[in-house]
Amino acid sequence: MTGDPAAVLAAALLLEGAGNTTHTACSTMRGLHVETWTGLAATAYSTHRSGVISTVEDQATDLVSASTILTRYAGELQRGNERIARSREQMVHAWERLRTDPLDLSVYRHLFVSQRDLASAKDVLARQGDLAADELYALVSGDASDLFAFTWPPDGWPETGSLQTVDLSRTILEDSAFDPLGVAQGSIGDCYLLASVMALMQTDQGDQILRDNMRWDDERQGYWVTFFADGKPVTYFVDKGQTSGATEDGGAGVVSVYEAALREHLSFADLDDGGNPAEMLELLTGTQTREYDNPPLGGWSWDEMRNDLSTGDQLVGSTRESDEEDGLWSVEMTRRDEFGHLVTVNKDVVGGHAYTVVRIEDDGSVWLLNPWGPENTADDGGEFRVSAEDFDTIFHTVASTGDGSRD
Amino acid sequence: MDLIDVDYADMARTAAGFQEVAADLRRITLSGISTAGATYGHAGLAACMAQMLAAFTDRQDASADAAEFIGDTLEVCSAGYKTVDGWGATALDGIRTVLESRGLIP
Repeated sequence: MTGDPAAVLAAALLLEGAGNTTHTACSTMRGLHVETWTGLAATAYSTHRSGVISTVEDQATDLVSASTILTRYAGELQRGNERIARSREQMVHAWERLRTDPLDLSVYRHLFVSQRDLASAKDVLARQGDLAADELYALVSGDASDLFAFTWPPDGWPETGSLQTVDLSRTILEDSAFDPLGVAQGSIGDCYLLASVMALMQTDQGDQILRDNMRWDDERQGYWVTFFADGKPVTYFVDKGQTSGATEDGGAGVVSVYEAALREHLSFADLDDGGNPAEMLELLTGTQTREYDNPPLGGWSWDEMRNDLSTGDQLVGSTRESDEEDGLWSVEMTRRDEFGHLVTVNKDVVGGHAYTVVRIEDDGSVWLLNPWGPENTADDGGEFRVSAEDFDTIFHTVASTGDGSRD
Repeated sequence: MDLIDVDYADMARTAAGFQEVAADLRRITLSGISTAGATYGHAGLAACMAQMLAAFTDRQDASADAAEFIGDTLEVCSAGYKTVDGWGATALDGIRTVLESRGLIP
């Protein structure tokens, strides 16, 4: 990709125009006030008006700043393209000379220099692109305004869990054990996210995906997190975790960072009201996922699901709603006691919930992990196994990072 | 009879001014800006542009909503004051009638 400096400049001009119009709107608003109005309501109005003007002014400034960044990049792009074209021309010239006289050793130096120049020009351009992207992201994520609060929130006051108050340490990536057994869901309805992150945490490859898609920004004191929406990267900045959010080994961890970033991607209401693990795995990994279901005649594709797990792919199962008042499915499950012996216990599988699939035995029984975490009230936490029959009854879909088109 | 010390015409003008600003802000469109990778020669920058434009558009909509909200609120306040003004005038007329009937004022 070489890029089109004229088109980038056109984008910059549009942004500048939008910024200037917004600045003008601010000036107009500054001139609008009711001279004769006094009292409490007038004071409230005046405060509100100042807040709106100041925030809209910030938006105008950000639009113009974005324009400046793109204008600079368009210039770099123009120079970079010219340099690349020159280097290519020199390379072609050198090759022509070499064909004419293969013994002319000086040509090799020209070839080397032109190749080096080409690589350098491309490298400079890539760095300028990275720099522009970082600066533009900072403009958007740095929006501390609360314009939306200036209109009455139709959904009422924010829920406690929607607030972001939990500190995220700079050493989360170093400190995290990436152990799915340490993850515990908070009071937010995002089991689909946590079960998916826990599934990834089961392999080194999955750990690496989670590492690669979050990075600490020392200057801004927070994390940049990349998701993949329809395969395209979208990046969010988070510097606080959700109040009453997920924890890892009792504190804020990798899951907390991803949870806060998903709230930015979805809004809190959508984060909190459940979701589809297949979509979540796609969002986390950027690769197409597959959904297995349990058709009445065909049943589960046990071999394919086992094959997915054995080749390093990850599975997340979704349960049906239970008819019981407490929303739970009572089942006999197998787990290991403190001495490592297999024991059978009567516990519960949560209805309308997502579970990380740990492994599938030859008889179709399935080992699972509940994102509710250690010592939870349904299954006490840790890995447990349900029979193939119970899995058949309780689970309706299994999402996989394995290849294959969505059913 | 105006009992409340506010200029209704000024309030109406100011409200209309904010509504015009809201309309101006709504006319701004960023949809003509390319988000294609080929434009920027850098896939990451193109993805960033798409995200930035979505955020700017949301903020622009919120700015217009906020300006309109101020205009609407001024109109509501003005209407409220006029109502209260009306009640106050009626009440004063009633008191005046009572006082006059009792010969307390000429």
